[in-house]
Amino acid sequence: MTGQLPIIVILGPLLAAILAAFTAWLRPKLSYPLVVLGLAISFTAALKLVFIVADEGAKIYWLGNWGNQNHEFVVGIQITVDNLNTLLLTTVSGIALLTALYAKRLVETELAGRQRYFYALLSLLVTGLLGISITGDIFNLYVFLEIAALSSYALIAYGKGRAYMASFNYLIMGTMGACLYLLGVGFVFIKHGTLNIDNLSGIIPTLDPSQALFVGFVLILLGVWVKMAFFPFHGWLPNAYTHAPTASAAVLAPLATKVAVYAMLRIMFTVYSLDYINGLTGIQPIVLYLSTAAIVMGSFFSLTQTNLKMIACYFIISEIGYMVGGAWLANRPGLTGAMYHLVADAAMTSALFMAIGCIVYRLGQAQLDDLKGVFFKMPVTMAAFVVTMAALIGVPPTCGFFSKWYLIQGAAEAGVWHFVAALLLSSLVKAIILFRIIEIGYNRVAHPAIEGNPAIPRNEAPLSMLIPTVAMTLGLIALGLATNTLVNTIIVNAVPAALTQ
Amino acid sequence: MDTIHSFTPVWVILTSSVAALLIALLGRWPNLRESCIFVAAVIKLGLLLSLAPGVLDGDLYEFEVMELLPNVSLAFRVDALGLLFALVSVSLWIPTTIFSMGLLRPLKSHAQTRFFFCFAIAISSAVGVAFSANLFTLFLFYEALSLSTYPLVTHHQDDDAIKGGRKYLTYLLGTSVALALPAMIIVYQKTGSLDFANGGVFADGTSTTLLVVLLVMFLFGFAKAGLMPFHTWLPGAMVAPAPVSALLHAVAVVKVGVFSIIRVLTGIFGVDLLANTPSLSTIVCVLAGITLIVASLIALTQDNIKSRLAYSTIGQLSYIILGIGLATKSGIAGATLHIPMHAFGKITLFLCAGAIYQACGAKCISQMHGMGRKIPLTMTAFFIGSLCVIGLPPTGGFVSKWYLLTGSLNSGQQWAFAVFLTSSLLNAAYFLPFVYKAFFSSPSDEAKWESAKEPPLLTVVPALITAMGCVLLFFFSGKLYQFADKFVELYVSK
Repeated sequence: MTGQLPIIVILGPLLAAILAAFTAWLRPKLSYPLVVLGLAISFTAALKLVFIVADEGAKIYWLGNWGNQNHEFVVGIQITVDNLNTLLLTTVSGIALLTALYAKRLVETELAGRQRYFYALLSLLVTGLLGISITGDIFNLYVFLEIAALSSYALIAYGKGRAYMASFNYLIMGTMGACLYLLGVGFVFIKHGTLNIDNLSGIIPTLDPSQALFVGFVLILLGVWVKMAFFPFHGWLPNAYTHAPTASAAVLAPLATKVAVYAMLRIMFTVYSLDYINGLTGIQPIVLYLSTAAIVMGSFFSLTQTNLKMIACYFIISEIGYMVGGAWLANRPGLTGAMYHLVADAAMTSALFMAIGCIVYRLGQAQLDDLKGVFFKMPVTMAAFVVTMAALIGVPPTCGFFSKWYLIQGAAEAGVWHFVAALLLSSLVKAIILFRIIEIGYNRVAHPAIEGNPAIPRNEAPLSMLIPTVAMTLGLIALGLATNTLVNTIIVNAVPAALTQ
Repeated sequence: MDTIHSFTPVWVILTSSVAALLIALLGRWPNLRESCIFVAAVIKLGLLLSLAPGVLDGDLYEFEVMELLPNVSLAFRVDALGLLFALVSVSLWIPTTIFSMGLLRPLKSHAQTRFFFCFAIAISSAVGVAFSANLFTLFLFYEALSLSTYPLVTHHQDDDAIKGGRKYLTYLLGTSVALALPAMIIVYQKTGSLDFANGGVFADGTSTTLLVVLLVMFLFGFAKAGLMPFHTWLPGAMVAPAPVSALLHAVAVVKVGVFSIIRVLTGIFGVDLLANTPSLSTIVCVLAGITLIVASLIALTQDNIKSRLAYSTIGQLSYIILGIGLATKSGIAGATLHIPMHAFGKITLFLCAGAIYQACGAKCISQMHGMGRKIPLTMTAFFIGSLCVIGLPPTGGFVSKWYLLTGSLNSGQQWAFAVFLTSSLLNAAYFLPFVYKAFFSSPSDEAKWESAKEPPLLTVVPALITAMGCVLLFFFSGKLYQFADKFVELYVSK
């Protein structure tokens, strides 16, 4: 049974998606429990894999057991689970499960009457994301990239008003990204005759660096950058996630971009190699400057926004800069930081969007000016919000502090001081935004405890939304406290071996 | 000298956190709520005193909670300096709480539960800083203190309070995140350790340029110490209610800044490195010296009592930093002693300022004519407090300044002697006219203060207690010197 775990991780949400699509037709009420069940199965399997892989090392699974597995050029469909992706699989399935539990009330109100295929699409999205994380083949990665992208276009278009336009914009950008990626894969395939990641990682270091290999690398890189909204390819993200239904945004925002970052890490350090990256002396500084620019611009634009969702979207753009920068530092602390941040940022963004969702559920919108007195109306939600923002700022002992710690350490080791400055700037900007919100939500209102001031009735979000939000927020602290264990048992084995010896 | 594994330090920190929880739960019953604070403060003080004999024998109490990063733990270690600072903060928590009750209750101030809750958390954080075994733990509690005191600064929730609070956080969070945090990470990356150790963590031959850059980052990064030009948050924070200014902005918060700098200079850089590298020692002394003189001069120009006291605090904090920067035994001992001495003196002054305001609504020094005859008890306490800050016998301030002056003569920075003396004269110049006006000048026509009478007991008694403390510190300074001596023994090898 444990041998089958890797495929169960994807099969859970995939089957749930198909069944939910059918039941949505016959028995609409059934699709929700089906999807929750599928995600729960997937999460359990992924969690179990974390421990198995940490103990026994990477696992390879052959789909249908066919193909010439021991041949130099593999044809079968391979699924690989190693220390780099078990954590991501758990994060993706865990956050998806929690968000599905959280989203029920939100979907009922926001998409009243139109929610028929919502959960099927959600499940399909998660299948795509898990597929990207688990596949051992760069072409299948493309397939899963498109599964995830197509379902997210639909999930975004569920929204009202400008959602269609935003979704269409995303579709154009996303398709261009996918094309670039596929083109790059084409270059790699022509040169090496294989798409299997293990094969490629064996072959590429033995070949002399060629122009085709380089062009393939750059195209793939550009493709995933568009998908992860890396500056300057970020234009599609803020509108898409702001105008999407809150429930869609709550699952897309934390996961979709992070999985694209994982794809970049996989291409950089498994398909290609650390030596190859270090050899790109012309590109490395440029990417680091771009990362700095992503962080600075993301922070700057978040300061100029007046909508809470928009602010959160620009946070994502600056956090992407953290991870790309950390990866391209290509030293041990930098990569550790990038990999740790993959998990930490997914959790933080998820908690942030859940809290914003609670606010939107009660207030109807999330303009900063509407937040007056929100601390009295929704004390629990706002407590969760403040802790989440503290994590994003990097207040110890939350997880955000530790990712920043490793990233700054890596940048200091490599002497990339502009990246250090950008990380700190981003913290400060987030602190400004948090206290701006506290001022509006808490201070700019006549305190209800003073005699003569009007009472502000409590109007907390429903428990079914509040409990997942609080759980996710507490998770940020737990993750921070577990940093040492996580880094020493799992991430240390995910970093290229040359760096840890 | 033993290292003792003990859970007591954690209990000491937790008592006020538990009290904070109880305060939050008992918000509806004010008497019960405030008795919680007293119980917690007494337990805390008892636990601290139980550690004192061991610490004075040279023992160290240690407790490691968990390892958060390789070789960096959340860990506590109680030495003489930490214990002394914790004792000062906790013992002053009791009179301040009495004072808060006397001030807030008659005003029917809003959100008293929030006030006492945040206060208790702030005390926990301050003691956490005092007991930190490494820079990482210290930083953690340092930030907790900034965050927990923000609601106290903005307590009035009017425009001024919001503005002051904004400045408070911008300066404190801004500098700690932008300067102290990266400096700490660079130290970790270069040396692999953040533990406070005799002789510091740097290997011989570390480049002086790097050390200078790190030193400056730390000095400005811990902006709670109020080194210029990162000092203006303190006058801004004076919008807070009087007890907050008294305990936090004369004792806990600002001393945490100075304490952090002491820890960095003695435990991360090491006194020997400081003494043997003239550029390092000079930077510390010059920055502190400038702040000392300039702050005293600005204080002279302030008419608002609390602003004058705030600038005076900025100057006095630099006494401590300058004392450490001298890197001599008596300089460090003097700096250590100046923590309790200045704390008692300055808290007395702030409590009196609050009491004066409550008695007659006066906020400015120019309104003080003849006030001494109307409210003699308050003004006497004020007089004793100002003696302590100026450094005249029979108050504790005299003792610490004595050691600081000796320390400056023994060091390579003898100009510091002149700076200390000049500043003491300036201290006298900005406090004594105040007392003179109150007792000897006759009330002016527009401000007769006919209705002025002694404020309620709950506000006067705490000021009298701390004023008495100033005098007692002079007579029991020998006991306190033992703490300073143990600290010097631990961190200065020659």
